[in-house]
Amino acid sequence: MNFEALKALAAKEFKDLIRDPRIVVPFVLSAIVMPVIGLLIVSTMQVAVRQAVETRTVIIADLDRSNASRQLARWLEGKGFSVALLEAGGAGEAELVRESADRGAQLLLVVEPGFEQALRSGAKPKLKLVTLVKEVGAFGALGSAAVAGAVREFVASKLLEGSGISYDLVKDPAELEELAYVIPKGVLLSNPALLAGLSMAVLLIPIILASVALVVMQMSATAMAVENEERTLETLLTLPVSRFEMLLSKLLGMFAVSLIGTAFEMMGMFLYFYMLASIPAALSQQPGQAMLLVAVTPSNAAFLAASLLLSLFFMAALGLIVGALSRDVRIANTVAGPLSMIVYLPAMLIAFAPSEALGPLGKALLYALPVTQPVIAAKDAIGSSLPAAAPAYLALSLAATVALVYAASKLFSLELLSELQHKLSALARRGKGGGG
Amino acid sequence: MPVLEVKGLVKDFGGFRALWGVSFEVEEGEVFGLVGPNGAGKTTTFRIVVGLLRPTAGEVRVFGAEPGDAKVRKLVSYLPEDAGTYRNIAGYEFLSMVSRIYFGRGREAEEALELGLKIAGLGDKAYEKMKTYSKGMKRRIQVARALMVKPRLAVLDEPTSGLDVLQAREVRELVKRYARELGTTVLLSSHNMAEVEELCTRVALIHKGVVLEQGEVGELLAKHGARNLEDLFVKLVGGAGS
Repeated sequence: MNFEALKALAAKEFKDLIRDPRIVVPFVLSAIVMPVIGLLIVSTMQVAVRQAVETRTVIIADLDRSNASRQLARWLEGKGFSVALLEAGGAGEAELVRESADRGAQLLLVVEPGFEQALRSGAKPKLKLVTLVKEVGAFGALGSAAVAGAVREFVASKLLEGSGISYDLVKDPAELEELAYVIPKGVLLSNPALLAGLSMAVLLIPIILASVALVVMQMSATAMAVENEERTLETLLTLPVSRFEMLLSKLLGMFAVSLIGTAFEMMGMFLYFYMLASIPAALSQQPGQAMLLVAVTPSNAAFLAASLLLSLFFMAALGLIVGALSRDVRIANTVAGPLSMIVYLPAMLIAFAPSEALGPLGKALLYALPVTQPVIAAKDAIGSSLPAAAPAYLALSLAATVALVYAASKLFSLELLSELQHKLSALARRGKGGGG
Repeated sequence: MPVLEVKGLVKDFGGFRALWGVSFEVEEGEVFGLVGPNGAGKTTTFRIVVGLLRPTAGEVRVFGAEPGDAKVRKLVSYLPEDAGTYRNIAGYEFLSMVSRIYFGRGREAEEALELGLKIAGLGDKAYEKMKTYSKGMKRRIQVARALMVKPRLAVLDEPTSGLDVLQAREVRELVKRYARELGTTVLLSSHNMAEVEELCTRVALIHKGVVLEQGEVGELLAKHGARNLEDLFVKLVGGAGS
């Protein structure tokens, strides 16, 4: 092995790629854009929640005109709501809603006739709470929930008058502490709502890992296709180095660049995820605990790192084959697009399907392939635990990667490449129905 | 023993025959020209000579060995037609990489790099990315790359193709000067007959994969009563019934 030549060629590959804005800009952007997206999502969600919660204006259509209904209006005012009365007259429900909407109200509370009578007789009084929606949104119902809560409290207090039982006792009659225990991780959560943060990680991380692998494949396919397009490959192949050294130097150079790119993507991903995971934590006012869940053990982290490295090497070799068979960058990108489905489809399956749905055979296959191994391993490492056969799967992935690199080295022949490119072009022409 | 022996070379691409029994020899120290129009088979012949393609039939010996043999790869330099350059690599870095591949690190590598920079003659521009180079500058870098390693045989495919008159003249001067200074045997191709007449001692005229005639330029012109190589080529092609 001519190590000096290997180093020189790998350095050339690295410099040529790392100085290419088409390669570097997407990496840097991913580190910047993903946290910005996360920030936008979080801040807009917070604004939406705040707006919904701060809906404090209630219009009351008092059809009962009783002492109790007037007490309810005062009760709501006492709870901080801004209350306005609507002269109902003999208007129907639709007219009441329209009039409330015209007055710019967000909530209409209709106190039906017989309200006071029901309270006296210990029956359920009838009321209607209408949310007037200007724009459909995820948090539109939060405002009505606050008013409904206040109304229920008033009604319950009235029904309980004289019984000696407080409303708080009826509302929450037991000192029940709700907890959640994540079995494979041995983590006890003080609020089950925090599981939302974990499920977000289980969904997002596999998809993000798949995206990283695709970026590496795209990059190596482009880099190799550029060799064909710019006609530099012919010179390269006559230099006094073996085909294997040539391939290895290219892979090493690409790999070094992809590691830098992966670091940027991971940084962006981490910040993005941290922001999203902080939503349920912030809502439950127990920040930090959700993030603890995504922490993996050192041995799992080592497995994930090794698996990801092999996967990136595999994808770089795959991209190299795609690029080598493409006469120009356009063709390489056209082929790499559909090929990316072999990563994306299993990644989506892994992300969204419960482990049991994959079956033992399906799971073993996903673990054995370098393309899917880090994706499923990430999901398991975060959401549950790695299988006992994980080291054997890693060996299988290594074998597949070595086999692909060997196959790629066989392609480093101008004769074979020209022949294959010619055949592929003929096939593409026939596929388009061009005939001759 | 000739530096290069080509005997009865045949090359088929699928159903198309590009070479029909091409034969010629190149002696040590000479500048030999393979002359013919586009599509004559010059590039295919060169690719076989440097081991990039395998012949369908016939025999090629480079310093007595198979083309592309590890023993001769360091002795042969190939400059492909329209060879590109790496966009984001500086000329200096490119030449430095070549010197390290051939000689590792040390005095010999430094000398090769120095020679490469001298042949390229780009001054401070050598330290800028090659995407900023003109076509002529890129060609100079490639010629420098081919000659800086002091090959015993330089195979130059259309070294002035696509260059303007002044750039072509510069490259011709480089080839002429350094081939002589370094004692390199040169096999070059061109469809520019005047260029070949200026550079080469012996030529082979090739057309549609067949060598029509070969020998010393002066002798060939006298033999066929031609004023120059272009005139000779027209006479030969006409005679061949094309």
